[in-house]
Amino acid sequence: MPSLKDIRRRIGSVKNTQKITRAMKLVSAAKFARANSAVTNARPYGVAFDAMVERIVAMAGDDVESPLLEQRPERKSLFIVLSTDRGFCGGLNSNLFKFSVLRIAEKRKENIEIEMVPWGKRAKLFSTKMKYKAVNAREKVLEKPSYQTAKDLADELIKKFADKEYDRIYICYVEFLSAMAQRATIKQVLPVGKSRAVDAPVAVADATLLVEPGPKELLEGLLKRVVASTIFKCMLEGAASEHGARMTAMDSATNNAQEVLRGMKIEYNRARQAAITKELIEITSGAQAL
Amino acid sequence: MAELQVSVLTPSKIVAKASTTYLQVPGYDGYLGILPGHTSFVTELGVGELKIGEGDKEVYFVSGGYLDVNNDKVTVMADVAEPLPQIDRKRAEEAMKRALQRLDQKTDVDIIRAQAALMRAQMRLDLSARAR
Repeated sequence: MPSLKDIRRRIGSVKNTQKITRAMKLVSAAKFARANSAVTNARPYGVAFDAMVERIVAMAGDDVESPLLEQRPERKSLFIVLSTDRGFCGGLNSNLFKFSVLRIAEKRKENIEIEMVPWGKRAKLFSTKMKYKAVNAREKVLEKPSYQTAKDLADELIKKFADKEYDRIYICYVEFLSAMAQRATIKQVLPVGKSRAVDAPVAVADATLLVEPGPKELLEGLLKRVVASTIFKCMLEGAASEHGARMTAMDSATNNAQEVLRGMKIEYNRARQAAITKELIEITSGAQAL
Repeated sequence: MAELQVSVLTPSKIVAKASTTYLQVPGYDGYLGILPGHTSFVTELGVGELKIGEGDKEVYFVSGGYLDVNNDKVTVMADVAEPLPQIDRKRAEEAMKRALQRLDQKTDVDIIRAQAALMRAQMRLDLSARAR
């Protein structure tokens, strides 16, 4: 049986751990609230933007052409894996990585060469561990998602795609469903899916729609922005997922610590009681002997 | 009289929502005035001031993005939209210095970008000076 002192020390260390997890939970809760409102605030722009692209595409008809729409046979593809920088967020990253490994294996089976861009420290570690060919690793993508970063990253990718360095560019990220639920997902970034712009419930082509400088001139910039806003959305959702997952993970860690503490307290009391009883027996038997 | 339902959006937030009878926006090659009953219209935005309503009551600095007019519903999807009091003068001044330096050196390939940056900084400063 462990001594009283041992148990007391263990209780102390669990309590300290609990303090840390509780603090982390509170911090994540605050960050989560911010990330969550960022996702909500970004929504109207996305909706309005998609509606506008739809209207223009409906008007321009089938003759929309752009290097960003070009569907080439898939020989070499780029996988972006968007992870967090820090751990302590439950299975968030490992689920994402498992998911990515599967997708990459699928592509490899079809003899497609895969390169990977890790965005986030965890993804970087993951790519080293899996010995993927990683290019342009980046950290702290999810720390402060800004549209400017998304745009810069999008420009880089667009350039690579237009130079025919890659035939497809995908992004694996964690979709944000709610604070409790996140799901690893994959999205095609480039070429911009015509399906997304064209097959969507097409707004009735508006004959009077005036486009300046002209649908074709406008389209190039629009498509670039589609890419940027896709990435921006992934970043926002990834950040919200991160904080949501960390909040939940830290909450359950705090609760678990509570459970452990309860068990240890019972053990402690029992040990204390046993010590007292033993002492009493010693005293009484000592008294009897006199 | 019919009114325009204006919403000013940026990728990260809703900057303003208003209903008005007149809107002035910076198009890519000059200012545009939008009145109720305007035809469906899409255009690229330039750098400049966005005015909601007559006079200088509601003015924003806007740069880049698109304007979508659809049945008196006007959506301004700007890359940047700042109400005048929120313009960061210090940052604009620094940006202006940087841009001027780049233009001076002329070694930089990105003269167009530096010029655009200069224009943005200048416009920010002008607008915020007027707001005070």
